This record gives sequence, C-alpha cells and structure tokens, in this order.
Amino acid sequence: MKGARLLHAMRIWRQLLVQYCAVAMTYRVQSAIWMLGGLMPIAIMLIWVELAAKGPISGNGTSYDRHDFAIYFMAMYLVRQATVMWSVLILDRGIRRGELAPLLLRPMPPIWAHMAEHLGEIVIRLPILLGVFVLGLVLTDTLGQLTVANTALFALSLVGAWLIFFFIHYCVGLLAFWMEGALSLEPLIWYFSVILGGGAIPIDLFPAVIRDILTWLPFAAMLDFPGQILLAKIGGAALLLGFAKQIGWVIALSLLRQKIWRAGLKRFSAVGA
Amino acid sequence: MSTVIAVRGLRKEYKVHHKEGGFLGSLKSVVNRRYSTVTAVGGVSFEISEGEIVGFLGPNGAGKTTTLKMLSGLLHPSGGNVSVLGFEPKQRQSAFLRSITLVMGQKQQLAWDLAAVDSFLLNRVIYDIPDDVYRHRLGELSEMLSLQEVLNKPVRKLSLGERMKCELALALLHQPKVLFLDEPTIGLDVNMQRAVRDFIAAYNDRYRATIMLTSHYMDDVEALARRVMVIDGGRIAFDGDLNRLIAEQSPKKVLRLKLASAQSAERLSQYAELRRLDDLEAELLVDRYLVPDTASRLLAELPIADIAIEEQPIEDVIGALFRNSPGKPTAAASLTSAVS
Amino acid sequence: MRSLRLILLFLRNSLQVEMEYRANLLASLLTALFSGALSILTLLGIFGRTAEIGGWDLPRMIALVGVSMIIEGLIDCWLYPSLNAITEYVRQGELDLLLIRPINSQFMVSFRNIRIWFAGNVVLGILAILYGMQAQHVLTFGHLALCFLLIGAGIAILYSIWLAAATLAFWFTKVGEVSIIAYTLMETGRFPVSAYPAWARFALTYVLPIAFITNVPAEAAMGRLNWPGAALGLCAAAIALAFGNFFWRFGLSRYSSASS
Repeated sequence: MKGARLLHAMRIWRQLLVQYCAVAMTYRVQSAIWMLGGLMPIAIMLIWVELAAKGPISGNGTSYDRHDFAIYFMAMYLVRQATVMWSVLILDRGIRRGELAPLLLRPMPPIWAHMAEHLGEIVIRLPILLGVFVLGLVLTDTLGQLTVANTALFALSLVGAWLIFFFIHYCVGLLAFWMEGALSLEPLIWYFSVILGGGAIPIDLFPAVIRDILTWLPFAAMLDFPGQILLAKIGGAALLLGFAKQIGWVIALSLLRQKIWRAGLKRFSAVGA
Repeated sequence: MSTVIAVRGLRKEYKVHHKEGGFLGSLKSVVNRRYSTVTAVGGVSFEISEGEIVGFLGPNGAGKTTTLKMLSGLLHPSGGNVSVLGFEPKQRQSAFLRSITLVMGQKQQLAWDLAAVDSFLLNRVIYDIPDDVYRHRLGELSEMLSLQEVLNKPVRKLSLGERMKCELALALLHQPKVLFLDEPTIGLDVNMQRAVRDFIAAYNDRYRATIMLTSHYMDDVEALARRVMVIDGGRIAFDGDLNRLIAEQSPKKVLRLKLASAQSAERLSQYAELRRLDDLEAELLVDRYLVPDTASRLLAELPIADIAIEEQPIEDVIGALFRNSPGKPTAAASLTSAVS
Repeated sequence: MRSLRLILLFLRNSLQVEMEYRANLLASLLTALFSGALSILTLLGIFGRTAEIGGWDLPRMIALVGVSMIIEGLIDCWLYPSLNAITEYVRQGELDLLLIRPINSQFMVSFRNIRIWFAGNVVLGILAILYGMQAQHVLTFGHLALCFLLIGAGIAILYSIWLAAATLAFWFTKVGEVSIIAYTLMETGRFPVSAYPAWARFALTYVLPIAFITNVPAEAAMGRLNWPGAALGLCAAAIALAFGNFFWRFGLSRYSSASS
C-alpha cells in the first residue's frame, strides 16, 4: 500500500513539474526582466574585488583575496537567483482573497503546487543563470579554481539552501491567516538573509563572536555555506557539519510550517471565494 | 435510502471590527479596535439522502455559500456537527476529497496560462484516474458540454461561458458522489444555462450523485430540485417540497407588458394588481392560476406590443417568508414543522 | 495653492486606508528600522576591515547610505505605489475614470497613491546624513539644503524615467516590473562610484546615472560639492521632467484617440 502511495505521489510531482515549467515558459520574458533584479551580488563583488586589490583581507583565521571574493559573490549571485521566492505573495493572495480554496479541495497538499511552481521557474531561469555564473567566473579569471568535487557539493548544498529559504518564506506567508501585513514583511526576510547570511559581507569577516553565532542560523546555511564549499575553504568534518546544519534547519522549518498551516486553516475564511 | 449528508446545529461566526468615519476615527482604530461577532450561519440542521438534488435558496449574505464551504471542508465550523459520506469535512481526508466536488462561479481551478486540457491532465494524475477511464470520461464530458473546440485553447482566451463549462467538466472528472454547486449558471446565456441544467440532471440520473445546488435563478431550481431549503439570516426558513414552496409562498407571477399606446393606471388595475407603470411599460402581479386567463384578456382588449410572463424574483418570495414580525409563527415555520 | 491642498488630501486618504491595516503599519515601520540598522551594520562591518571605500571614509559613507535610504524610501512610499498603478489602471480600464476628473492627469496618477508609512526610511536616511555631517563637522544649513535639492533632482530623474516606462503601458499592457530596474539601481548606488573598477565607473556615471543620483547629493552634504556634476545633474533633471511630461501627454493623446 505504501509503495502505491509513493508511486502516486511521484506521478503527481512529475505532472506538477511539467505543468509549472509550461506556465513559467509563458512568463519567460518577465522572468528575464526580473533576473535583472538579482544583480546586486555582482555589484557588491566588484566593490570587494576593488577593496582587495591592494591585498587580501583577513579575518577569523582565514583571508580573502580578490579571486576569493569573485568566486564567493558569484556563488551568492547563483544562490540568490536559484532561491527566488514569492510564496509570501501567493499565500497572501490565496488566503486573503480565497484563491487558496481550489487547492484545498484537491486530495493533494497545496504546498506541493507551490513548490512545483517555484521549481518550474528555476528550470526556465537555469540557462541564463548558469551562463552569467560561468561568464562571471571567466571574466574574473577564477573558473580554473573550481574542482569537479567542489562544484558537485556546491550544487548539493543549493538543494538545502532552497528548501530552507522556501520554508522561511512559506512560514511568513502563512502569517496572512492572522494579519493583513504579511506581504510587507517580505523585504525583511531578504535583508536578514543577506546581512546575517553573508550575502553582503562574508561571515568570516565579521567579529569572531558574531561570526560564531551566525554560523548556527539558517541564513548562513543558505548563503555562506554554499559559498565556502565553492571556495574550497571547508572540508572534512566541517563540511559534514555544514550539511547536517542544513538538514537540521530544513526539518525544523518544515515542522514549524506544518504547525502554522494547521493552526491557520482553522481561521481560513475563504473570503471572496 | 442512506443518508449522505447529516448536519446538526451547524454554526459559523466571524469577528469584524468597527470603525468610526473620518480621519479621527481611523486614528482611533489604530490603537483601540472594537470587535463584534457576525453570525454567518446560526445553527442549521438537515439531512440529505443519496441521489437527492436539493436546491439551496436564499438572498445574498444568507449563509448559503458559507454552509457549502463548511460541507466541503474549506471552512472550520464554529460549532455543531457535520458529516458528509461519513467523513468530517474539515479533516480533509483524501478519500473524502476524492468523493466530493465544489463548483463556485468565481473561483477557478483551471490554470490560467495553459490550455484547459492541461488542467484535466493534472487532475487525472492527482485523482489517480486510470488512463482508459480518463479518456472515456473526458469524451463523455466533452460531448455533454460541447467542449471539443475549446479544450485545447488557452484558458485566458476562452469566453466566460466556455470557461465555466470547462470548470464544470474539470470538477466532475473524478466522478464525485457528492456535488456542491454554488451558482453554477451565473453569467451564462440562456442556452448555456439550459445545457448545464440538462447536464446536471443527466449526471444525477446516471451516477446517483447527491447534489446541493444554490442559485439565484428559480429556473435552475425548478428544473433540477424537488426539495428546497431556504436559508435567510443564517437560519433555515423552509425545508421541503419545491412545489409547496412555490404555491404557498409565490402565489403570484409577474406580467410584464409593453404597450403600443399609453393606458391609464386605473384601466390596467382592472385586470390585476398594478405594480409599476412607466410610460409604455407596465408590470402586473397576477395570481398564478389566473395568468393564462388574464393574459389572454389583456391581449384581446388592450393594444399590447409585447408581453412576458415571469416568476417573482426569489428575493420577494423569500422576503415573504419573513413578512410577519419575529416571534410570531410564520407560514414558513408551520411548513417546516409539517415536513420534519 | 490648489495642488498642495490636493496632495494633502491624497495623503490623508492614503493614511486612512493604511490605518485600516494595523499590522501593515507595524511591519513597514519595523522594516524601515531593521533595514536601516542592517545597512549601517554592514558599513561598520566593512570598515572593521578597511579604512576607506573608494576613497570615502566612514562619515561620508554614512551620508551616502543616508541618501540611498531617503531615495529608496521615496520610491517605496511614492514612486512605486503611484506609478505602478498606471499599468493597473490601463488594464482595468480605470484610466478613463481618472481622465474625466478636472485635475491634470499626470498630477493625478503621480500623487494619488502614497503609502506614507513606508516613509520610515526617509526619516532614518535624514538622520544618517545628519550624523555623517556632524561627524565631520560640516553640518550647516547650506550644505543640507543643497543636498536635499540634489536629492530632489535625482528623484526627478528617477520619476521621469519611471513615468515614461509606465506610459508604455498604453501600448504594451505587459510592461512588467520597471521597479526592478529602479531597485537594482539603488542597490548599486549604496557605494561610491569610485569604489567600482575603472571599467564600471563610466557606465555608472553616464548610462545608469547612479553617480548623480546618490553620490552627488552625499558629497554636497559633506561640503564637497562637485559643481560641474551638480550643474549637469540639475539640467538633466529639468530635461527629464520635461520629457516625462511630454511623453505622458503624447501617450495620453494616442490612448484617447484609440479607445472607443
């Protein structure tokens, strides 16, 4: 019985992805425009590369030279583009305008549709994303510094990064069950992530005490950790610990989301439906 | 016949906040909000058996849609018991969701940017419908609702009527045993309305589906439902045979006249109660059983360019149920007690 | 001054609408506070490792961040809600309702939707500028006035570009998110142009005029006014406003003659 259920779930997922890739295709022009908004890491990268022109910048027992900054922020660019999220918008609209209702009538967890929607968008963006990523590395003369192993592990860490960010956004979006202002909290999520996760300054360059705290937060697991992998600055036990943190956060946030969802459904008013 | 839907004391209340007008009022409401409770559904009880089609009538805001949403699991009731096919709707169990469907005029399941058939494919997978069954049903639904031209066009390019038909087909693809239809014919032209009505009747006939149907159109209800429940102000005002409701509560019909030359109000009042007279247009209220007679007399004796015979609007019919002051037994109350 | 009274009326209405949604108010206040704090913290973090960015020391950088925050605040509370609404008006056909009012149409669309509670950034930005100026002992009324004037010019340029892009909604209903370009621009503007590599500086001064929009007002506040740059920018602002107005009226005339 369990096997049949799993197969059924897989079939649903496959169809969902097919559907949402098709939908994302129809929005490809808009997607290209929206991708322009993800260029901040590249701008920041230029700043840091210039700052490091006179010599590497060190902190917490490690140092970053201009090549390091280039690789790190190109990684940040990739993470930012790959973790594009708009669940807060979907949930805010779904909950307050009742658009969630049709999803609730299906014998399928609504969150599957929301996840598939985001994944479809990533598939469409992938060509440009990877193109800019590789181009950036080529132009900063750093492509040669990547190894196959690191790149593979980096890609793996992106899965955890995506899930963490997805659940954070989803939990904030679910607040729309209780308040009208959930949408205005969305920019905050990004600020927190970027600053606390190393998106503007590598965490290593923070004062030691702060750095140590930050490495335990989900934001660092999302941004800094993948960056460190690509930089080959992390290995062995530390690498495993990093993945463990990612998994831990994914599980914790997923459970949190479930609790908030159940509590929120009780208050759902399907208004406007 | 088995009971499919059982509802006892079902309630739904909302908290709404009050605000005074003007700028000062807005400012005050930031710090100090006064809430009051609005009762959307105030203790409703009924039972529906397998294969019944029940018309669920009531003016806007009466609680029809709220009740349907509670029955389909979208809303959590504030109180009372509800059981559909043996399930508690708010649990939203998979087996429950596979056996019901809710069709709401405004909300749509179809993916906006893709062709209608793509949404069908998705539902096929979600509801785990075997390939051959799917093709057979899709063929059947396309035929009953004439969807062949429309299935492969992007949904955003369809007209309202075409979209509604696709929504209906999509909602029935998994052959639910219980159908909740909220204003299924709203916004459709007359032909389409008839097609949808015929289709619903055929579906009920073939699959012994249990159907709860809300509508503003008496025609929908008359064509499909033998039993009606009237809900007003969150309470059930009438639950019983449709013909009895019509006969007892809507004893009159509306005759709409277009006159070829102006007539006086006194002249027209000789035939029946004159409700309205504007220039060359008149409305008369005539006892149901006197309509043929009165109409032929009017046509014979007055210069009439056009005549239409209509039902009284449902709001009037239902309003009549509460014409007596609260507390006194109403005609409706006596009817209800006779039925239950 | 009728225009002033109208603006105040729009403000009051917007405020009343905003007060309906208390949680929104709180959230936007918090956002302003946090984003401000985080921007400053980022700066401090960078300056923990280096003494200057592109030749700018900490007080000048704080002033620059302040200018950025003011402009971002104005985008959030004024430009974005007002001008983005234009595409909606066109799509829903509500533009006609606006046009029959006896008020200049450009004025209407530009000031009708102001989300005053997003102005928190503006307040914080002003505080940052004042702090930066104070730290270098250049806090004079003249400097401040000049700074605000130049911010105004920068906003005028942003406004005109945004309005022109929104006017395109008359022809292409799917104009998309012009705001993205504005926000990306502002993100690059948090750093002085001199901090970017040589090849990027040209683009950032002339193509995407971030140098003018954020750098010049910040320098003016710190008493280091770049006269040629300022003069150029003021001219550019005037030209931009004129063009924006012209293009709006052009678009309007084509729209009115096209709709039946």
